[in-house]
Amino acid sequence: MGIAVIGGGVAGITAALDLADAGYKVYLIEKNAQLGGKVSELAECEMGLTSRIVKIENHPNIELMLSSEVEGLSGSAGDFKLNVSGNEIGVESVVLTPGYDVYDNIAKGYAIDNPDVLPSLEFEGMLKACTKCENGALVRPSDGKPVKKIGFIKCIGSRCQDNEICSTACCYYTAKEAWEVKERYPDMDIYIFYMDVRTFGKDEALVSDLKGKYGVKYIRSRVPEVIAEDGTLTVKYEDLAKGTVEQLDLDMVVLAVGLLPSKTMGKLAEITGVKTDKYGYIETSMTSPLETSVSGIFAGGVATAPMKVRESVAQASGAALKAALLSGRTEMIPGQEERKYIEVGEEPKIGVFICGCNGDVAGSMDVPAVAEYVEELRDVVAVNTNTLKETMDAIEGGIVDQGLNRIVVAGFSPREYEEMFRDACAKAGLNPYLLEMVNLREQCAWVHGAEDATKAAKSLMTMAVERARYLEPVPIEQYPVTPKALVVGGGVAGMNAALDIATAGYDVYLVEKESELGGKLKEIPELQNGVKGSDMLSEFADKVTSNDNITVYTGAAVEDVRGRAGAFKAKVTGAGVDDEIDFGAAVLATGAQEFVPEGYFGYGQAQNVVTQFEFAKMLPVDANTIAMVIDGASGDGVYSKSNSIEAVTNALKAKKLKPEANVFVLYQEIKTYGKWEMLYKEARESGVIFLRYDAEKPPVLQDGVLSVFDVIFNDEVQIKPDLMVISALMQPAAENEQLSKMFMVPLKNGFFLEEQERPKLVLTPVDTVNEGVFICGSAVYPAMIDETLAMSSAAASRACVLLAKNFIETPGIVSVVDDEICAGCGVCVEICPVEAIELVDEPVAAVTYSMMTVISGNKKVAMVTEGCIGCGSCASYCPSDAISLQNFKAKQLYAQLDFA
Amino acid sequence: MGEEKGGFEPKIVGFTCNWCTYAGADLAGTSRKKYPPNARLIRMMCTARFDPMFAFKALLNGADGVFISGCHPGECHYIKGNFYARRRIAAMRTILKQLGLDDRVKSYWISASEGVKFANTMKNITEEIRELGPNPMRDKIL
Ligand SMILES: Cc1cc2nc3c(=O)[nH]c(=O)nc-3n(C[C@H](O)[C@H](O)[C@H](O)COP(=O)(O)OP(=O)(O)OC[C@H]3O[C@@H](n4cnc5c(N)ncnc54)[C@H](O)[C@@H]3O)c2cc1C
Ligand code: SF4
Ligand code: SF4
Repeated sequence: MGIAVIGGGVAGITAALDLADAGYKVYLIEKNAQLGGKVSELAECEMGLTSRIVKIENHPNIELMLSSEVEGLSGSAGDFKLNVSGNEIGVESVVLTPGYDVYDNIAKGYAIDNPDVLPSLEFEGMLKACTKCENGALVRPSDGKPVKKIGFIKCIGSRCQDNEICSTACCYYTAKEAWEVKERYPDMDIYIFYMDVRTFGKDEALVSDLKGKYGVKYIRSRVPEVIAEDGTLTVKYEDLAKGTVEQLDLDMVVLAVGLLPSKTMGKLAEITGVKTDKYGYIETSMTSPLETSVSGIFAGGVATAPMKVRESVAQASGAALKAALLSGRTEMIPGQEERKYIEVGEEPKIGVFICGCNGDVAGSMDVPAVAEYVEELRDVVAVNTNTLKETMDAIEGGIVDQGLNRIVVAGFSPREYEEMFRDACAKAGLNPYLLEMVNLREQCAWVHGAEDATKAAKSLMTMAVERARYLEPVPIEQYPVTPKALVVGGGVAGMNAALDIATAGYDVYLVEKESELGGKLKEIPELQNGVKGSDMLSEFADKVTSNDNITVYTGAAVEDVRGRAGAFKAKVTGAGVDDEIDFGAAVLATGAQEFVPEGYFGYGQAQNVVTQFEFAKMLPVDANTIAMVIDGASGDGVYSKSNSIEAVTNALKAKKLKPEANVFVLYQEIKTYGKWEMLYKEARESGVIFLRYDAEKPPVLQDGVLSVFDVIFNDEVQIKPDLMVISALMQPAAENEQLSKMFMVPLKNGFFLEEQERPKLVLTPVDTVNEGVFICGSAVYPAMIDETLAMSSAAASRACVLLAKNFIETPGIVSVVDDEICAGCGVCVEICPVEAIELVDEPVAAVTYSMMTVISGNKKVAMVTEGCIGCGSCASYCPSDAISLQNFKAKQLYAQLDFA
Repeated sequence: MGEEKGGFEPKIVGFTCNWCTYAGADLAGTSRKKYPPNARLIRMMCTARFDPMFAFKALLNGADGVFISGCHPGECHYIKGNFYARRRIAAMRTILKQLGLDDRVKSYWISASEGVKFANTMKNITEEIRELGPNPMRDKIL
């Protein structure tokens, strides 16, 4: 049997790959003729997505069903029968990822019939297309004139009568589009018409960069109409900062359209029986965000609520694991077959493969001329020009039939394809480090004119071929995977990850520094869905403590981490424990804590100033006037994604408990993203008063009077609160600093940083640069419980993909020491950033008789341990060139350099 | 493009780290940012692998300019690799100054999201090196 994934967008792709890589049979069902969903329509989607699609197309465990739709479903969890476009398949569980469609009922008042007014998805397509032409100018579709002034109107088809909720992704994608336009066309004037800016963390930093150094004008406004006349677009807007009606002439207008559930969702709900909410999204709950109303059917991505790619793929990974728990592993895991590498002689026989895919490279340079040139290079015995897929097969053939022993692949960036081509070499029995890649696309064809590109390509090819001549097979050993995981942090994220991994059948060590499990959850009186924090906690804690696969350490800390993905070791120490543990994967879930806003509005001195967290625990209160301030706190840290939502929840509760009380919320931005918008609406309707202030004029509390300049009334308001409630910033856990060093995961502002494959599309939100170490929860970014749970299930899923393997191959890019030359000076030991080098005693042979060696003494030599991460510092510092970084040896770099 | 600029096309060798500058160069590509074709990149996992000898070798080989570019300080994937690189570049400058080649060796910090900065940097360095004219070592060695 297997698992059906319905919908092949970025969420479906992620779920399918996590499952298939862990050895499950997957049916990936996509209604369109190709995979990719909406992300493939975005401007910057080339990297990351395409390599995943190629991987799916070649994956032995995935049956790809394109242009197919589910027409019927019967049976129940563990034994579903699906009718997919007439074919019957049997699966144990289902993952729904049908995604979204964009709002298309755009009012005529926005001049939508005018070709220069574009919905954002079309604009992304246009950006993508216009980059491909030679001069790359952004021109108006109507008359081909270059665009000089462009406006973006946000919240089109969101937070309105048609679609009451906030679409979450559009604030960010608008910022991203503006950024992209500004990066490409620095002289462009950009205006963004908005009501609120709902971005978090890094996205928030992007918005402030746009407002600052990029000079993008953010205008807080309502736009009733766009008038198209004589080739000019006039945006009429009500300036909410000035209270006036203004107008602005622009060359082009982009409408940031909202996201709606996929048009197929209704039918899909009917067939599968899953409940949808009143907006048409698949219904899930805050405390089980990946489960649908039907047992055995899970959901992820925008099908459950509007969200960005980062959250979509986290949900999808998590849902994949939940689905896997109901299915049996039946398939081989790719790369787990016994591999024997052929002996390669000294004599290089180089095969060169130039990708002529999609006309990507071929369209922008003279590929035949480059190929002809390469044929003449030293030791080149074969030159092929193929498509990506053909190349994969041709490499195998070349190695097996022609005896090629060095492979040069020219085309895409190695950052995306090196792993895939290394694998292709390995499959054919060639040591994977005998591969060299030439970046003819991103760094040549796409950035130079055809003539220059051809010339540069020839030189790049020579460099690569010369380097290839000096490549050496790197010793690769297979080492067994320890099928156990370590989870650091026993809050809700840590407990959930531990439970998911344990349910998948692996042993888990859960280490919590406090004397009991629970983290922040134990202090939350009630979640927005009515569940008590303490109830949720005891449910989780009971499950954790009663699970035989989980060993819980409380009041303990992790120390002395060694090893690498699949085979880590560490010490757990604490009251009465001093254990040595082995594990294959680690999940860091250390959470975050509130920054004490000492002195802020007199907090700490005045009795009646409390934080939101404290206020929630105090309710009901009998104050007559409550004033909340939800941003602008000083100190270190970040605002949680839950910050506005908590304040609105508490304000609404206070108002409901005591309707005659005056409840004020002072804010700069109300970030009730997604369905939380309804809470904001309800709070306003219940009489909570929201006052917006500007960062330049923050509210001031003096002698018990709170003065604030409300920018909507354009006047100063004075409040005499009985109780002040302030929001506290969140700070990373103090131990992150230490964990970062032990687990080699970089921090940003103290929070763990995910691996960044793409600068703007986060496709691996829980993976880190250190393979085998995953991150989740508030330790990455403090968010709502549902997101935290989804993310921690994702981390568990990624960990299980690794733990499912029997063995892993040792990494090739690590340093090695030549004992003969090493003088034992210890420079490298000092330099290594991860303390991966030790000086050891090595016996020195004085005289060797026929059978006997007389040891005359010891000499110190450097020894590289498993901890090496391959940075190369040691290799460049070693005064006697005794230590070298494999695959980046001096002779290899010089060979390349000499022909540059 | 060479003709109108007097025929001298400088040859530039760049040492970049895989995670930041090389990725930034990829982004310049996906954004189709055009820049002059004078630089040849040598990819290393981290600029910590950069050895001043590489720069000297490039100059002795006749390169007109050399640059080293990695992640911004504090953003190194290997914790402090770029900091090591910075130290080595500083040390290397004393010798370069004596040889009169200091102007020909540049260092930058370009992150994975700075595609445009990468393209502009390539434009600028090409112009700067063009101004300096051919590497005087070229004739001395050959
Ligand atoms: C203009 C715009 C720009 C954006 N830019 C960004 C950005 O820069 N960064 C970011 O993080 N997010 C961005 N987003 C959001 C991003 O597009 C979504 O988060 C992401 O696409 C969600 O992925 P998904 O797989 O859930 O849905 P989708 O991408 O919609 O994929 C769903 C797939 O399921 C298929 N399908 C639907 N119904 C069925 C069915 N019944 N049977 C079989 N298959 C079915 C569809 O054909 C589709 O292929 C943007 C959104 C828009 C509108
Ligand atoms: S406020 Fe919500 S609906 Fe409006 S643009 Fe921002 S994310 Fe989209
Ligand atoms: S390559 Fe880097 S991590 Fe490895 S031993 Fe050398 S200095 Fe240490």
